[in-house]
Amino acid sequence: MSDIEGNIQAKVKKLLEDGMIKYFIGYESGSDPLHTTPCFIKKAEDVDKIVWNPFCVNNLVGYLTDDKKREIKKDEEKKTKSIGILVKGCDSKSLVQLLSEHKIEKNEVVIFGVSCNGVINPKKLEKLLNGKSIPLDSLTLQSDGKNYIVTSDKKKYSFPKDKIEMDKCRDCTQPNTLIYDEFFGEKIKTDAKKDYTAVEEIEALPLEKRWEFWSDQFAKCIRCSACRNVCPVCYCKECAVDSADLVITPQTTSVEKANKMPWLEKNVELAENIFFHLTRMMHIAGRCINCGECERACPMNIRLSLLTKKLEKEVKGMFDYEAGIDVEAKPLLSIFEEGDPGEFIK
Amino acid sequence: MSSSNKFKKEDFVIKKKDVSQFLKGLSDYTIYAPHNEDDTILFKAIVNPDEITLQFTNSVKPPKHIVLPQTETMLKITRDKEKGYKIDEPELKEKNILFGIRPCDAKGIAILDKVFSEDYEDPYYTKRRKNTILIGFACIDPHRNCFCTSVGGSPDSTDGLDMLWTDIGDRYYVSVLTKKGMELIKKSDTFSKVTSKNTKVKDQVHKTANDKISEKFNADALPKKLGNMFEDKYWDNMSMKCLGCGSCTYLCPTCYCFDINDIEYRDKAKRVRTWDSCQFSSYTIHTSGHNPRPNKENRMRNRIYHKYKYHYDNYNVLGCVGCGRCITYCPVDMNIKATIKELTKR
Repeated sequence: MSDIEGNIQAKVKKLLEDGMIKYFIGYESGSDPLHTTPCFIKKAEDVDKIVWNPFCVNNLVGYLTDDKKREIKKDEEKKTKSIGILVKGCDSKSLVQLLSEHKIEKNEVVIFGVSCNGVINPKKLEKLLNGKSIPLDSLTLQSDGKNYIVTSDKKKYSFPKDKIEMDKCRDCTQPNTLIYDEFFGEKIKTDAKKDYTAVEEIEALPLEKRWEFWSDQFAKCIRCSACRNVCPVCYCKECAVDSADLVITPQTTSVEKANKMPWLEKNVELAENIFFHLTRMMHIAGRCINCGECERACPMNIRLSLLTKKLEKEVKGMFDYEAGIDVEAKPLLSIFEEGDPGEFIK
Repeated sequence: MSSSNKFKKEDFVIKKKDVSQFLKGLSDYTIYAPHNEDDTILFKAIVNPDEITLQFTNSVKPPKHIVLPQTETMLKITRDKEKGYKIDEPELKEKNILFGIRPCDAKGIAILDKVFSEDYEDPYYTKRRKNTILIGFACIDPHRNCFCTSVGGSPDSTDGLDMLWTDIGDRYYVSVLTKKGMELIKKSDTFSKVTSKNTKVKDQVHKTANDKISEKFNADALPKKLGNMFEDKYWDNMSMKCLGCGSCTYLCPTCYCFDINDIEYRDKAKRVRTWDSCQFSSYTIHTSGHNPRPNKENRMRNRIYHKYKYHYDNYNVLGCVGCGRCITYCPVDMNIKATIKELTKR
């Protein structure tokens, strides 16, 4: 157990015992050694479940708005206590974004900040392990800075960090949590710059090739909504693509019901799939902080991060704006400045 | 659905190098087989046997969509100013072969067979199913999340199959299970009689695969146990991390819930049937706005109840084949094996 892990556990224990938080959102061991899974710690005696290691991939911030969406609250949930949450540097940008949009207020959370050296993409690691027939059962992992040392069946294997970490970690500019109440670990300095090479490669393709590329990507979509539901800024209770979610009350007239436009049909065809993804992208433009969760959650391996990176690049280039940096910042699409470029609406 | 009652089972072998010739002789059929694209294995209609990959554990999506498409056009309506309305129904004459389906997924189709033919015969499903031949491939290297042997299956289960092929080195051991399967064998001269050595090797391959699924638990007690657990607090806690997306249900070989919608476009309209998921909040919402399953714990409970109680109560078979996809592809590492184990302990 690392110092960070032990210190987090101790702090959570204290907060729960003092009644300062109703629960703590962190990570616990998952279904196999390559995964951790989000955990919700309600009792002080359960704090030893909490882990902190390079498999702590999930962005937990979305659970804060999820908590508010619950339609029927049980008595114990009505208490106005805060929620404790462990937030990595990248994920803290989505937390800042939600604070700036007033979807959560600062006094509703106790933020556990942490320094992060990068997290592992289990798919990449598993592929390398399978290639060398390395068994997973008793796998442990350590880092020496540039490499991860995997121990399995008493043998050691070294994997370069950049071969198995999440793509987003390779140009991470935010290794430390941006805002926090408690910080764990030594702050990490970085002079990394955002890398848009993959986006530029797609941009450089002729129109037909780009169309072909994205058609192939979106044709794979099964519309399970994992990308949307995992997204911390996709918090709407009623989503534009869920036409059936129209809330009908006894006062809703038949005309209102009839006029409820189904923006998106349920048939899973290329046109509808494109509409789904592009609508989502437009809705998160200037709000997405590239935590990469949508691409990670997609069972069909759709390259959604290429789109979110493109959004980030455009927003930065056109408006010199970066989402999730400043709690006081106004959302990009709600402000207008004289110097804003207008080419795109001509 | 099965026509195997009076059929006398027979076994053959085919040399691996002759498989391509066998498949080329089946030009009356559309052959769906596993295909690897960007590390994503999916069943697709193949034109050339070279496109098939048989080096796989299982496909990301089960091939249930061949008999139960995610989007099915039930009828098309065209409006003509002079002639009035014209309605076209699909003929569904296409003859399909599902080559390389895993025994768990074939068992999934056997489960769907009962749903779509017992109480009410669904013409779309049954027509497709009648015209589809299932050539299964015994599983030789089960995934760590597989648990077929705990829910009444096995890596060499023959439920739903017309043939079961087993890799025995330089050839496949072919167990012909139905008349439909035998008709295909008769079309080709690439099959030869089995030797006792072949049978021995085949039995050993099956045994090795069975032994690889080391984790076994008894799910038989669940239908009864769940009877008393509807209001249990367990559901609140276990579902907290669920995102409410549909990847577990859309990737499940036995989930069959669907929705029907009319889609209009100018003078044309079509009625489509699409997959639906009990994990979506819109799944049960009433026109009145009332939702009997308002929170995700209600929806998660329904998923578990359907698989391990309702389906058993209605059809005397569990609605789960233990393929493990809902674990592998869950963005938050929900572990149905852990759920079953926890429930059986109670």
